[in-house]
Amino acid sequence: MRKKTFAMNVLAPAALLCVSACLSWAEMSAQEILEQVDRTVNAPEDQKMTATLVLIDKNGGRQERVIEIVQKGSDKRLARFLAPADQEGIAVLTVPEGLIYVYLPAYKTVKRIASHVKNNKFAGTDFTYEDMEARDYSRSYNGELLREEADAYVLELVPAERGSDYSRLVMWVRRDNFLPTATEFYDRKGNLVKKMTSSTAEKVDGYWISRETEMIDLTQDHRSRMILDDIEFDTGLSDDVFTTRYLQR
Amino acid sequence: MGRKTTRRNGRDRRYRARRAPCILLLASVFMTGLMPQAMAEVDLSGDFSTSLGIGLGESFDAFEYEESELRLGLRLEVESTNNLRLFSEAWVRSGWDFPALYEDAQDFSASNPFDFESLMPVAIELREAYADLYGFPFPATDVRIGRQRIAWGTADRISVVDNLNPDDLGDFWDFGRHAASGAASLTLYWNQFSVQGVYIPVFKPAVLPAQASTAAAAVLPDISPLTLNSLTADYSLPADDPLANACFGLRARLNILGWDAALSYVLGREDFPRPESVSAVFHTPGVDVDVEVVYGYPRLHVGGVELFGELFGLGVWGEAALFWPEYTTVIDTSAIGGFMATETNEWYLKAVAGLDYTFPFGLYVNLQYAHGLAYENRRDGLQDYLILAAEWLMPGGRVKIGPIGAALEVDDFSQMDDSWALALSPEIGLLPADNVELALGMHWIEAREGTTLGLQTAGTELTIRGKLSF
Repeated sequence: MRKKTFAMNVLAPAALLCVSACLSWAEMSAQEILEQVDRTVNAPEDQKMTATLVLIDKNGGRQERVIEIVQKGSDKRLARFLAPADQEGIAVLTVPEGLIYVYLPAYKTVKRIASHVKNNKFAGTDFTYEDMEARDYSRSYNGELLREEADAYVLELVPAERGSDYSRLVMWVRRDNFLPTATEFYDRKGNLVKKMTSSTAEKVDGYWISRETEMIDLTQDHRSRMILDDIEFDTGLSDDVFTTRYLQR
Repeated sequence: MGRKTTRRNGRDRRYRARRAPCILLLASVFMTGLMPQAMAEVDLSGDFSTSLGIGLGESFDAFEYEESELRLGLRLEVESTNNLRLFSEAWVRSGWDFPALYEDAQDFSASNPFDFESLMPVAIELREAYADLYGFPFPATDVRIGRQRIAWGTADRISVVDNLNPDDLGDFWDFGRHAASGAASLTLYWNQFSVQGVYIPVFKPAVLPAQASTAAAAVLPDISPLTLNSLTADYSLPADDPLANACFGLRARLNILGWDAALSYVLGREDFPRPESVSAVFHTPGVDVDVEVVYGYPRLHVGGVELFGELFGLGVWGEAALFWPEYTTVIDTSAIGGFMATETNEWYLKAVAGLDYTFPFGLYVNLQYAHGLAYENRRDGLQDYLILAAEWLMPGGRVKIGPIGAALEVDDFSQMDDSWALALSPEIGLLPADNVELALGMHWIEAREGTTLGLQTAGTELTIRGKLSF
């Protein structure tokens, strides 16, 4: 009786879990995993947050930027600098079709920026505009499942379109919630140039999010840490927020 | 139409600015009075900057202070509700005082050796002070009322459609700087389309550089073999006539097929003085003459078109503006045995085209071609310029190469050897901490006689600049 209980309570679920895991591994392609990542990362209708970016150089010197970010869906984002003082008020708007507008308070004007800026550092950090873009992974990359680790899928992502500064990315995705935890960036020559890690994953209002992300530029021994605060989801942001009208407010 | 005539020189302009503290004070009181009791957010920010220019002479043999400035910029922003925002910015400016002391040394000792203002001149300038009313009077419209900068155009600093605010050439090397205007503007938004209407009730002329007196000589009739004894310049502004002062602007913007396009029309006034009459009389018969020039600011119509887009990853833009001034210039040298002639309306076209690119390692480069700059307002006086700008924030973010500016002027392509000018202004900046910038730069001009850039002091100037933001 005791043996039967043990078998029913422990072995059977374990076997079931094992079979289920094997089946799910066998069934899930890289593209399907990326679609799951999109459902996790872009799940909220809209999001508002404050990002503190700490720039750390090889000597330990630090600089800090504070940015207010609002996003709707996966293709509309507005980032406004709150600090430091010499960048306060500068705002960057990304809208569908890849259009980027920047508001420069010193010049009282909204300027369009061409896509060449995407491969450049965002506000002096180790994140490029491309890294900071809201996106659908399943549409932006062609994925290949490299291997499965105990708690993560390891995928190789190749940009689906030309124009990226990266030849490929290697991304670790948590198996339980499909949240990316680490990404390696390889330049066009195939060299590993940057590494991004996400930590302190938590559920806020029912959505998974990484509160802290660190990007290391391996070529310059420089790192940028992004810490998210004041996170709000599904506040009903209007499309009007993502216009040049709102950008200059 | 009533006309007000003023006679100005550089020194007058410097002292006139001292009256500005009253304006600033009034503006502060005005803005404070407007604050609702339960004000939401008040933000005070600004910067302190200083610069010093040392002329090195054409052969690095004559050292002298060319310019110096200490400037405190203060910005006050109050957002009382989601629909109301107040903004003001003032500059408190002074110098390291070397040039002021030398220029005024004679007057100073003759009048009042204990006059503190003569020793330490300070100018306070209200750059902007306006109220934004969002969603007023309709949900799709925003209104801005007050002293404001209305920046039109897509070109970088040398826009030809940016004609509502007066140009500010107080600093020759700060291309594209404009003063603000007291104005009311209303913008209507509809998806990717917007229309802005602007009304400026009182016309203000451009702030001219110290070299403006040299420019006045350019309108002199040929009086050879006589010599010039004196040149008097009078400036005639519209007086209190609302119609004569009023300026209007209308601009429609649209994004179509990935390109940003705009059409604009301005009914304004030329903000650079244009001669209304030039007369010459003998000072010593048969030897030298006195010339009097009366300048005005004639009515001006400007139709503009702008375009910005992307080609092969490059940012590309273009602007063109047709200028139609209403003026009559009478040149009378009959008193010295010369002639009388009249010049009337003559339209002219200015244009800018440019492209920019940011290299993956962070170097930003911007190249523009311009036919006619802001202060050129005669068809036969429009010169061609090729302007290069670059900036590179080096790895680590502590050293900035640039902004580097280079401008090549060509007045006559058929005689390039004798009609070119080249201006360079490289700079290297250090960013030792957040909000702190220190820079060492140089201004260098090599110019043939008669070129516009040649009106600037020839030779090399070393510049030292510092800025602290808070």
